[in-house]
Amino acid sequence: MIESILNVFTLSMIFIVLGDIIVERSGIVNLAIDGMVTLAIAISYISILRFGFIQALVVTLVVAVTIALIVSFFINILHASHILTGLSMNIALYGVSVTIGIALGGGKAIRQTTLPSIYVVVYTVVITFMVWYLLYRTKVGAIIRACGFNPRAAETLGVRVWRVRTMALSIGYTLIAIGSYIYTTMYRGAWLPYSGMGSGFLALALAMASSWHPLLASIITILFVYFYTSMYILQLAYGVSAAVINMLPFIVSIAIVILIQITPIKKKLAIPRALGEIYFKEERAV
Amino acid sequence: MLKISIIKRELPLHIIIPLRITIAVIGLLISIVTASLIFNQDPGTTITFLVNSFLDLNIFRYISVFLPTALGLSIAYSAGLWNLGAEGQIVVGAMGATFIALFTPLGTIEYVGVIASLLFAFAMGAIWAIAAIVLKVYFGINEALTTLMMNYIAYYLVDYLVYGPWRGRGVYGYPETDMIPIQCRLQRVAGYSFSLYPLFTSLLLTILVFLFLYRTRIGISIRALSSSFRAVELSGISSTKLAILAFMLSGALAGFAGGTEVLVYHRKLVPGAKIGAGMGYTSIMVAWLSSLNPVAVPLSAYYVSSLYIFSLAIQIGSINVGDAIARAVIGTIFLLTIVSEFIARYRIILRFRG
Repeated sequence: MIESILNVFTLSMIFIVLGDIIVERSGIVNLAIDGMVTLAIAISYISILRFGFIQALVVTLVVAVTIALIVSFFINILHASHILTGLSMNIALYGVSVTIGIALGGGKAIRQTTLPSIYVVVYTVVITFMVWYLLYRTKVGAIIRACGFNPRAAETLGVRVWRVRTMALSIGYTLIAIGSYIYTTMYRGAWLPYSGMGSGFLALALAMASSWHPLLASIITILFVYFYTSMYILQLAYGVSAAVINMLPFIVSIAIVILIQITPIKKKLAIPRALGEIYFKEERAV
Repeated sequence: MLKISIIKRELPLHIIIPLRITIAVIGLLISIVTASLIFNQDPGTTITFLVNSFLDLNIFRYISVFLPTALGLSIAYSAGLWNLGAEGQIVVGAMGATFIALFTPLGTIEYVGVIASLLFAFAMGAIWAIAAIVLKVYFGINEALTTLMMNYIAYYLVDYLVYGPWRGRGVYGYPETDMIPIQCRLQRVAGYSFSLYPLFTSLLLTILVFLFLYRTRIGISIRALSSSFRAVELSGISSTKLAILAFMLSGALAGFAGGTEVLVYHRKLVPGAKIGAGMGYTSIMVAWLSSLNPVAVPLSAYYVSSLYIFSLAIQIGSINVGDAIARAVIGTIFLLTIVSEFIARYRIILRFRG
């Protein structure tokens, strides 16, 4: 019963969406997420072929944090546009992931582990609560949200914006890597070139649809994945086309953001207003 | 104690141009080295491949997509607006062209069919772009994210059509429409898969876009929009209207590229991901590689197209890897472009303090 609503795929998507939320709450448009997911899936696949489960997770996390630092270097030190950095990183990371996946893995299947569904529920609740607590009940979270809302004001209050954004990127990419690891080891169990491509952008849409709020994000992700997995039933019973269901999260995300912007909910669910703002402090000392 | 500061500066054009050329050359070196290392080929053969791909006439097949799309995008980016939706605008442009060609009587009339399809492709691209910019100027919603989402909506919209109502009668289960009528196809150059008419149109558009952006009052105001909304308002032009116009033009040009894809290359509507094939995203970087200068767009389109052809050339003899390596190399070149942008705009100062 629980499995039909909350399965391992949902759990991996929740991790990716929550990671994206932490990054975007700090004001960074996280377009590199799609390349990151693709790369993390490939890395966890090839490292599981060689090492145990724990070592593979460590390797994946190290790669993820490295990528986060590279993105942070481009955004915070080189003051490059977030969008250009993300798109270029995506193109490069797609290429790198497929190259290493074919060179070191070569289509072999891996040992798959199964997670009992009670653990899936527990992990979902715990991670959602942890991210919510981090963002809304700790000082660090308040600082992260301040950088996403108005970096200039945050800097005036003594926050080093570039440090906070680097930290948010590292935390967020760690979560994204864990999500991709779960996807490979517990859901997919195999790897094909470019597998995972597009799920990063799907996570971006789901995060936007939840107005970057962790609690809402988990609910929306669960609902969407439920629709997605029961697509064939809908298709048979009501003749709903697969394309329509695939389109749904993207339409819903735009609709929800419009709804938030034109109604008084806007005051309750503040969305990161400085999303994509290149923060340049004159004469900055790094 | 050592302090590192980063300060803004403006480099003159005669330094920026050699900088860009250096980046392009470094990119070529990277591709030669990776290709020869991974395939254990001697560099001589790789260089021959590379030179051949720069001379191959098939690059015009890619240029005819990259050039109009990147031209349009450079209008939007000059205005400081993030149109990431070129991919989706190409796809809906293709959809519009197919609609006129297949489902209206106009499609079977010579000349009129082609012109009507392309005009409708223009219009569809513009409509697709307008949706995002209206949300931006009236509700303040980040246009980069909405245009990105709308790419996927466009993909799945076309998928819905080719799997459902538009599926052709003679395609044996493939998700495609029927071929468009012969009167509506643009003639290809014999032996190649591109046509000269859209290419000449795109070159004409290059000049028009240049004149528009640098010689007309509205064009100059569009470029001023990126530095200050308020200054533009004070000069007596509505910045809202300008933003909508810039986005509309960029969407229309991408739609035109999609229309020519149908009339020249595919000659039918195929699933969305096959029409766009990531070329809309690459066009974004083509526009930035040319520093948003319309006159330089043909050059950067030529450069990126020949890298595409090169990736096809090194693909022979192995499975799939050539495409992946090409992506990694192209991505690295774009990252280098960003670094060069930093060198052109900022200066690093080292100071020692006691």
